[in-house]
Amino acid sequence: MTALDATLALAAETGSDEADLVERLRRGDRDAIAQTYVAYQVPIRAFARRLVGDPAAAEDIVHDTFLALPRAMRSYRGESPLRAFLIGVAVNHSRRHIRSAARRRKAIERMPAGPQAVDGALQMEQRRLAEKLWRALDAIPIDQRIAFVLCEVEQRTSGEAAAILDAPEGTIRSRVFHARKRLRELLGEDAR
Amino acid sequence: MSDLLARATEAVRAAGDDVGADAATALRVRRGLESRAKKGGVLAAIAAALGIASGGGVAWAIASGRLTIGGSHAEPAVVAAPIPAPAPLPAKHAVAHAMPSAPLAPILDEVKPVEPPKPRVDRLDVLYRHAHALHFHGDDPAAALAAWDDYLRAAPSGRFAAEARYNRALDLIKLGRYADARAALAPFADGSIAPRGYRHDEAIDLIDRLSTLEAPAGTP
Repeated sequence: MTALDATLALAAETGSDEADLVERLRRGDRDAIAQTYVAYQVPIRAFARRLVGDPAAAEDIVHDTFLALPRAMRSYRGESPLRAFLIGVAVNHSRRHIRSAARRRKAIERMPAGPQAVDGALQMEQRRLAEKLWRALDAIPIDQRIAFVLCEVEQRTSGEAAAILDAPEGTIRSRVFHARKRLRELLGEDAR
Repeated sequence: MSDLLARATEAVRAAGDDVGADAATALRVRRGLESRAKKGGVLAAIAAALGIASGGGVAWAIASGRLTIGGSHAEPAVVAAPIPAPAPLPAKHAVAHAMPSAPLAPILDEVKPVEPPKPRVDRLDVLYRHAHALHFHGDDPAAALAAWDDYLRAAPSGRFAAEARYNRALDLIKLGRYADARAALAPFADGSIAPRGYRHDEAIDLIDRLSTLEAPAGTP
């Protein structure tokens, strides 16, 4: 590849489909929201499911994220990929859903038959472990929870999480550190 | 991480690996956007969109039509366009997420199709769209460059001036006008263009690569 080819390839890449999509979202172009929904609904849903541990609340987060998208695009400056920006929008709309999912989990725990609200998607043991961690996550501050899910569950770097949350990297690392410490304690307590 | 925490983290990760598309949420998003558009006073466009959806016979397929959010010029015009039907879900999702289409039909029937409004013609919008089409979908960078220049002459500080300037620089590269391209990219690289930081890293990278190229004969 010649230097010119490389430059043109880069130029093409930087003026890529995503840039096109972002511009159309900013202008409110015909298909942009639909295209964004189709392209990004699964990662947003996956993040939301991991964050709240409740399929219904996760769907609410997906819904709120895409409903807020036209307005949210005003603050998008293109400094991070659109996908990361959308995760950030999802985070901003997740707090009340985290709380309501936690309340639901608590209510289900009190039922004599034990947890019932499962979709059959996970194996028994995995589901038991996941429920245990979600219960522990319910007991730590939401900011720590979000940082833990982004960095430990979704295995993003602290830099990526910092970009998503618009927070300093050191703050993210600190939140993850404290989350892990507390979760270990909570899971240990739970095991006893 | 403790073994238990590691295993529990893995289990939560797996819960997210298991998701697919969800038709019910697609419908809710669409209806939410339509509801906002109604508040903005463009019911006719929504009705037209819904009319198309009903004609399609798929209750939750997202129809197309132009929706204005908030009714203000400053607000982006938002369009509910077709969101394709998601791929069939695995059987394990079917019970939890299946959305029967029959109960939705009355919702769609409530809105009668009407004549869609004629779109407002905005000269700047036309100039931008023309340049955008030439840049992203054409094969003549000289024409795209001229179109971006037309837009920027008409709206040097317009809403899409930054995008227009950046795309203009890309067309200069395609035309082999490397010195001009470097000059056009410089404000992005030094952060002096608004919004600050827009295409900053890409501009630095491009300038760096351009500096290794020799300018073709006859170019400055």
